[in-house]
Amino acid sequence: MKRTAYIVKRLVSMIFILFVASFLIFFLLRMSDVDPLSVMIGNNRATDELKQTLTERYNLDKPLLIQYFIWIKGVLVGDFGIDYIDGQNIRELIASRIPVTLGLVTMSSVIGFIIAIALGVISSLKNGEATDSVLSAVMLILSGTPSFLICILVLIFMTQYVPGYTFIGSYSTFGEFMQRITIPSIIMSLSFVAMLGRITRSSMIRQLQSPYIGTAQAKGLDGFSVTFKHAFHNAVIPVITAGGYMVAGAIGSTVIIEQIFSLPGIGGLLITAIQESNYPIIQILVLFMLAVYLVMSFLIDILYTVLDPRVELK
Amino acid sequence: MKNKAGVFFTPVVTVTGIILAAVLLISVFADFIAPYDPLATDPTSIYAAAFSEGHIFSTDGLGRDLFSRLICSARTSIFNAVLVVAFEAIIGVSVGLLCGYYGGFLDSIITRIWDLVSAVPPLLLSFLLISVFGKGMYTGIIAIGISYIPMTAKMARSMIMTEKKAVYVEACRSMGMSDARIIFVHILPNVITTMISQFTLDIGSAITSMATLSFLGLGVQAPDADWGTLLKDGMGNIYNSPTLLIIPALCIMIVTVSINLFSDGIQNYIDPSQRKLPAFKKYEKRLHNEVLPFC
Repeated sequence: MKRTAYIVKRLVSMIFILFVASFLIFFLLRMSDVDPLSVMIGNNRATDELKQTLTERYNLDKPLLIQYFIWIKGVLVGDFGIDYIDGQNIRELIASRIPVTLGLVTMSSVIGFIIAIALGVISSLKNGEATDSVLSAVMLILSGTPSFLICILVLIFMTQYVPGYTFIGSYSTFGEFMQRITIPSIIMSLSFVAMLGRITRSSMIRQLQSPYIGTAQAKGLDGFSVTFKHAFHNAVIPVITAGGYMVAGAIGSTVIIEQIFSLPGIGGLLITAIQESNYPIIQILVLFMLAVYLVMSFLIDILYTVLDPRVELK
Repeated sequence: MKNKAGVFFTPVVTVTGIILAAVLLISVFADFIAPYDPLATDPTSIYAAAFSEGHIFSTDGLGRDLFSRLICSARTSIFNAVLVVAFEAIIGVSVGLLCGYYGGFLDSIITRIWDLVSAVPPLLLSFLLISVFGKGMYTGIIAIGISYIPMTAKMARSMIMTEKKAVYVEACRSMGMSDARIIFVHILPNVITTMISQFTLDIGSAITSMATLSFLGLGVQAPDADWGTLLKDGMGNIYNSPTLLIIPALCIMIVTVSINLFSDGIQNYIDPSQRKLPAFKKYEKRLHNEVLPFC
């Protein structure tokens, strides 16, 4: 009962934040001194008829508040409007580019979680030994290194020394798709490994030193049960929380990876739109990324109450 | 990595400190050290190899000397990062201190605002601000600075909450000092020392954040250059001369890793009780500032 109330409360506040954010995004973008008409006209001749048609098509003559409501009404029913420069349907534009981004995020988080937890557990079991020192040092250096630099170095290595590897190509089949995104995903997963590996390690060490582990050992349980059924069960909670936020943020951070590997995801779309002041695209993408982030963090909080029933519901 | 009580110059701190001091000196005196004008083009030596005569780190497609460009843009990169942190520190610390000291209505309003701001991933926030105010160096600095503020303010706030109950604060008040004097003259020095390692760490992440923006073409604009610009130029020349990309990338990597290790050293020196603890707070902070934008 308490949990239901908590979920409802969180849900309401999330929707409220999204509305405030959509309002802010829309009005902030309109505050900029770039005139939408000049963006749309571009290199065409700015005749009065053209201006007139464009003004009518994008409702520019209506007050801003009305424009906002037209936009948000469209967003709620899944109609994102058309962009300023090519007049393309934004929903189709996003739909054609989202698989790459989602693929990157999913694949990198799966790889990242598995490796991070494995390394963290190994290093906590070997606490104080050489294996632990080496693993910890590697994770420390990885976490200090901006991963877009690792990307660049890997890219140079691949293009120079691996014959036959190209990161440009079509995405028509599943095989090709995987071929394009595997290497970027592995690099993206490194930051998960660095961060979550360290959290797993310290959280496992803390659990392994608790009295209940002594009890479990005294009962005569084997090492596997002690490590995985007892210690790991508690140790994994902070890992899931931190990891969840990282996955949530990753949808925004694929922007850089996509840019480096020239992947056709929504990140590239956003950067181009910012460069060209193509507001309809910017506003929907920023809102979308924010929504994903908020929904993910909402799910993490809910999951957290399930994993650790002791948690206080505020 | 263990630190003896009171020893600041552990091997790690010494080595990283020397690296950072060298980078700082080189960037300050870049004009005197640079063998060429960083913007001077030279059609006779396009894509010169690294370590070739006269050009230690190769040249780019316009014959500009990479070494000169690297050390001159180091100044931009470092100066921008310091500006970001100064912006973050001045606004974040003072807002945090005021909120923590007075509490009440102001506090709850500002807490709400920064909850909203920190719900937006930092990189996304920078993108939004850049699309509003136009791309450019100062927009980038402010955008990144703003995304760092909530965390700093939270930290300052939580510290003053405990500090304001201290006896010396009561003593100050009984002597009739003004609130401003108590907060900024008496409490601030006690709070700021613990935040120094955080600010050092932030300089490192600010360097990467600014480099990211410039790399995407949204930060520093030509003819100015920072390390991100060099990366962007190098990206365009990846098939012609990979050194143009490798050297700036290694350079940023060395500097940021050094800053991370150096700030760990400062943290250990200032707060010995944390030496062996898992730094969960640091994870949280890094999650927010470093890892999320650069996964």
